[in-house]
Amino acid sequence: MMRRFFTVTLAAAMAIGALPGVAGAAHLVIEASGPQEVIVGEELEIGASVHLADGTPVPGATVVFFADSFFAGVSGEIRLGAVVTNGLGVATFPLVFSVRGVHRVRLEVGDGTETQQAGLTIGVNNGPQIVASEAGVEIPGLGSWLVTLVIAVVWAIMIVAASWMMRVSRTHREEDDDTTTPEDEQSPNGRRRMGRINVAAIATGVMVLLAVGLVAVLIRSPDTHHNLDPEGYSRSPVAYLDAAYVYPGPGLVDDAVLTGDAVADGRAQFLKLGCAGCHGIDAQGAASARSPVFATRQWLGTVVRTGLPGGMPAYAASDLSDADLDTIHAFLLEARDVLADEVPVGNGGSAPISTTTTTVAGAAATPGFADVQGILQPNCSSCHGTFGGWSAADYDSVLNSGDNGPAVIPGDPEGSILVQKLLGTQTFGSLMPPAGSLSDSDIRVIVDWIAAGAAR
Amino acid sequence: MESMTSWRERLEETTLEPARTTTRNYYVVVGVLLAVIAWALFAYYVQLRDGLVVTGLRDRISWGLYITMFVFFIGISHAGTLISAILRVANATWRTPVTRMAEFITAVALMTGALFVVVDLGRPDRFLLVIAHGRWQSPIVWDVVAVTTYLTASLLYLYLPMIPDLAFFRDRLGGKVARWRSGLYRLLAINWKGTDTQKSQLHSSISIMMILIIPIAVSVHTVVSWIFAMTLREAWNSAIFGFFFVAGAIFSGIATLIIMMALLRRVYRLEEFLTEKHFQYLGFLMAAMAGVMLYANISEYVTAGFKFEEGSEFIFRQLFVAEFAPYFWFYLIGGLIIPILLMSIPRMRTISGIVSAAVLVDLAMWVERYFIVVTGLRAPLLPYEPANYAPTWVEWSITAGGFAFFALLVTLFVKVFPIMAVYEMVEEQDVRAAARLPASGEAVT
Repeated sequence: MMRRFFTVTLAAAMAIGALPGVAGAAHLVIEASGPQEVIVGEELEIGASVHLADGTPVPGATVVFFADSFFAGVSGEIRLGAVVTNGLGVATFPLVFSVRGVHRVRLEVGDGTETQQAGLTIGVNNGPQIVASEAGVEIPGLGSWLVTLVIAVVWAIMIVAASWMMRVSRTHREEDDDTTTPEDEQSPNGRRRMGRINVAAIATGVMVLLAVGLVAVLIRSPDTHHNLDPEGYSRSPVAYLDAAYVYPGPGLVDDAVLTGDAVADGRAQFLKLGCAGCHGIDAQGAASARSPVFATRQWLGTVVRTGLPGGMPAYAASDLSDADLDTIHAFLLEARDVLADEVPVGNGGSAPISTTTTTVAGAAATPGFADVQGILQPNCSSCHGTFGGWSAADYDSVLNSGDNGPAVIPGDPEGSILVQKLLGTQTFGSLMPPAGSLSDSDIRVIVDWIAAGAAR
Repeated sequence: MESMTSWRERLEETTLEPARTTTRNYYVVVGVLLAVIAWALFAYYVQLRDGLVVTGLRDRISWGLYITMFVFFIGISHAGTLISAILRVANATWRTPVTRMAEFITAVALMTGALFVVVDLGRPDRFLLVIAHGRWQSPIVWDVVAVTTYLTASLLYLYLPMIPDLAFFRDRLGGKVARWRSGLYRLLAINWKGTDTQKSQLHSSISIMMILIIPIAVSVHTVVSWIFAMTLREAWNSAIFGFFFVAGAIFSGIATLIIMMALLRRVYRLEEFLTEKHFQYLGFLMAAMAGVMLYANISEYVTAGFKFEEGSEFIFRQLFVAEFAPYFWFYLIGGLIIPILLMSIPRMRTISGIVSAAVLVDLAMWVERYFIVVTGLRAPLLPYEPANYAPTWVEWSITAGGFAFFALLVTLFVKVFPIMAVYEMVEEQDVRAAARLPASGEAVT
């Protein structure tokens, strides 16, 4: 009885504690204080004030801080730490939230006989990037200036050498300025003018320009890529630990493009949900997945909800509503017609394969089960046999397995579900394989085999 | 004294000869080279018009022949630095007859090599973005800075010791050759009269440059190697790449110098001045560098192969036993071991033996640049099949054009400028005469 009373009291106390603000019973009271809203990464302090019911502070009480948390799909409460109240009965605990959302902090204080709690709810909003990798090791004093200095010194020495070359030409002028060479006499105007062009000076000038240019490139280089981190611009968005940049999934379009037209919206969903990534942008199928255009609405619903072994993911109703699935189906029907116009899918358009004409074929030409197996294995077994229902594994299963009775009635191709499914004359489900009909010659082999008695 | 004067006259006449007379063969050679360059220009036009898709370069192997040519030519540009600067600093007197050619190879090879960086760009106009938005953290910017510096320095270093020889050409050829050439010699000789003041000033300039150009040259090929080593590729993760490339550069530079010396010696009858001794000295240097290269290879592959980190297997397999094995073993055996063997057999130390070794070395070094570029990029970074690369006719044409451009500049240069450092050779001969030593040309035969 006593135990039960205690449990109820504790539950009541906890229920009260779940509310923000004051919680108290008997004579020990704990009050929690802290900001109501912060941003991700912001440092905040949770305060606890412990006093008696009459307001007398309680120093030396141990306040334990808890916060809700989740990790790897498991959520619960973690103990952050414990702080002893000071002379004013106050204990504070520093905290940083790294995940956006509504967080609850719980405080607990006990004096050995009773436990009191208080709670605090803090809204954590999106904040700036809080984790950025620091690439490299910062070595003090090392930087572009060192490279610049080395290059500048090298060029300075070279220019000094070149300037001595200038002196070579000048020295001569001073020493024997009046001398005229034979060439000058031959052609006084042209030659003399050319003689005045000082190659040494020009070369030195060009070198000075080159040196200034190269050094300028190096000096300027730290500023060329905004790597001084101008305001509002960060080059390295390494990690965002909040929902500001949620992974958008592999889809290509946004909800905003939805028009109300079933086919167009179905296409948008088909792209957005990533179906096109495997099934092709026109649902035409690809190496990674078959074309889904022949799926019935019912079959589509089954496969989409449950997924398929081999990679087809399952989509829950929360991710993809039935209404959206309807639009996808509408798009697939449209895509089926479009594809039929472009490439002959199945035998649509071509003459239907007769199931009767070759009933009695020459014995030599009659295909055996091995031929049939050669067609069924690559085309059917990836689903059938691994996913329940009819199986193409062996002779018996080809004939008799499946939820709808025998798939093959020897001697009766038209009545065999296998042939009906291959030709699209079935009364339930959809044409097989979903990626498009087998070739006419393959279907004929199966028809002939059944017509001839479906021999082992 | 009599023989010395005539030696000097013969030297002067030999040096003047190419500038005085032009044979029909010369025009044929220039014509052929121009035709190859014209074809390369057409190929480049096709590349500019249609984009890099006309090459074998794709997203995964984005460097091919062009970057191979860039690295190769930057490499042989080290001929001038080593032969000229290092031997000048070391005061090795036998170098004087070959310095001019070495320095000229430097300048021309650099121009050719730098050209291929631009050729490799699908949008060459965007090269300007390196200037406008270059970052000093980028190896591309290091390359631009280092190559520009080296090109300027090597042009200056080519020009400075040539001033007295240009004055000699001005005095001897002035008025006797085409007007533009007389004017050119006059301009470039910058009033050189050979006064003592001028000599000491020129000497100071050369002294600065011969020391400065050595670290610049080393930095250039180190930076070129860093283009690879700073890229996250298994095959290029190497701390010795800088050293490896500089050694390879000097190695191929010597080989190119030997080949060019042999050609010019034959064409312009320089036998008296470029003797077998010069070839042997350079051959020994080349063999020594081959040893250094061999050591670098062993150090590189044994350390990587011993640890055999993930990814190494692919690199080793393609290099040692699979797709690139023929190239690799040709480089290792044909380019490094055989030249050493050739130089260690006294009977093979003839000019033809040394030149064959040099041809092997140049071929091997070109192949080495090629497989370093391609094998590094070939290894898949994701579980793909390895990428493949085959150069197209456009790349081969432009590559051929690059070689032709190099050859054309050399051909034109020897026609217009003194191919031997007459002034330095004579100056040194005077020193020898004063010391009663026999003339270098006569002593060694």
